[in-house]
Amino acid sequence: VDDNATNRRILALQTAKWGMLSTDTAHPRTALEWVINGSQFDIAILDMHMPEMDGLHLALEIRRYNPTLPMILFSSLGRREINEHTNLFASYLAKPLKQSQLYDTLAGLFSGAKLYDDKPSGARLLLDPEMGARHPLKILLAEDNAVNQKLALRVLEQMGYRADVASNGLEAVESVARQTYDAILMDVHMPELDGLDATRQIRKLDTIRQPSIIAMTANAMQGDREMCIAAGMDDYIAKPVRVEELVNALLKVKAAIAK
Amino acid sequence: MNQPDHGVNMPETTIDIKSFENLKALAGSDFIGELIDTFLADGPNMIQQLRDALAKHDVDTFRRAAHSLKSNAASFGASTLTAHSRELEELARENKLSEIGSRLEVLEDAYRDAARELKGMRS
Repeated sequence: VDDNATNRRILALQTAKWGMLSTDTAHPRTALEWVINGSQFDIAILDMHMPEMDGLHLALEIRRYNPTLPMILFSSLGRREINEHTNLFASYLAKPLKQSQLYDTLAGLFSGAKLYDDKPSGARLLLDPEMGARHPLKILLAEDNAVNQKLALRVLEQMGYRADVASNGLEAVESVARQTYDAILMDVHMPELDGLDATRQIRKLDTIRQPSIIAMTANAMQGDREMCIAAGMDDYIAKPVRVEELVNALLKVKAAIAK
Repeated sequence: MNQPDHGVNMPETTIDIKSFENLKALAGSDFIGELIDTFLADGPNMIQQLRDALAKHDVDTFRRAAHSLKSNAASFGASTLTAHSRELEELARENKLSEIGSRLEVLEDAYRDAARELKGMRS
């Protein structure tokens, strides 16, 4: 809901590219009628500054009729404008709208417990087959477990990435010495050489362009992240892998190189 | 528990349906069968590794195998198997394999239950 037709058009086109269906209007009253009449939406994006009714008032009205619909406030000032209603919005989008920010926000919300639980198919929406084209990365997957290997390759493939595979830490170090990678998805527990030692060895290679190393581990133990960072890794994602975590980690890699 | 392969709504299921559905959504329903097959092919090797490592007092290999099994069990939502493999992983981490008792046999039972259920859930 935005009185600015250009913003509406951009949001509609962009979300359509990610396989989402959107309905838009310039009029908060119209949006409210949809909600009151029981139209089903998974998410609402509300502009803050609209002449007929601002985004905050619209959100408060919507909330009276639909207690669960996640709402995103789209505003140049963001959350500072609504400090007494901090629980009202699931998230905030700043203007000017950045595609990557929109993606991260939607990915983050759609992977949230409630929606995710109700609609497991939501995970597929997050798998953007164009991501590999938009953020091209050379990826090495270092993983010894066959199921995890296949699953990770499958997910990456659906995001438009074809990763190389190393089945243990030694192979990972050898691969990195042989060719340049932007990112390594590194299992921590591997035979021969574990992910921590492999990372230490890779960091000692001074003739290569250093890749981003993202730890992947099924341990949700306190101190795990610190251990990985101390070994020289850049990021950490938990297994079973969640799409939005993987997406966010890979987006960060892109940013690091662009700088 | 001698039922043949059964569907997802059986009350005695040990597979957490939400986790399983999430995995299915992630992998795609066309791929989940292959993932299950991969796990069922690999699972017996992991259990054999656990037995061998225990016999040889190879704590590192034991811990890794238990960890691997735990990771896969968690992905498929096999919660009982996840709990038992986590317990064995912890035991190895704390270097207390001498206290294992019958836990490996219990884990093997949990694996058999999970494997039978997963076979039934292949789409």
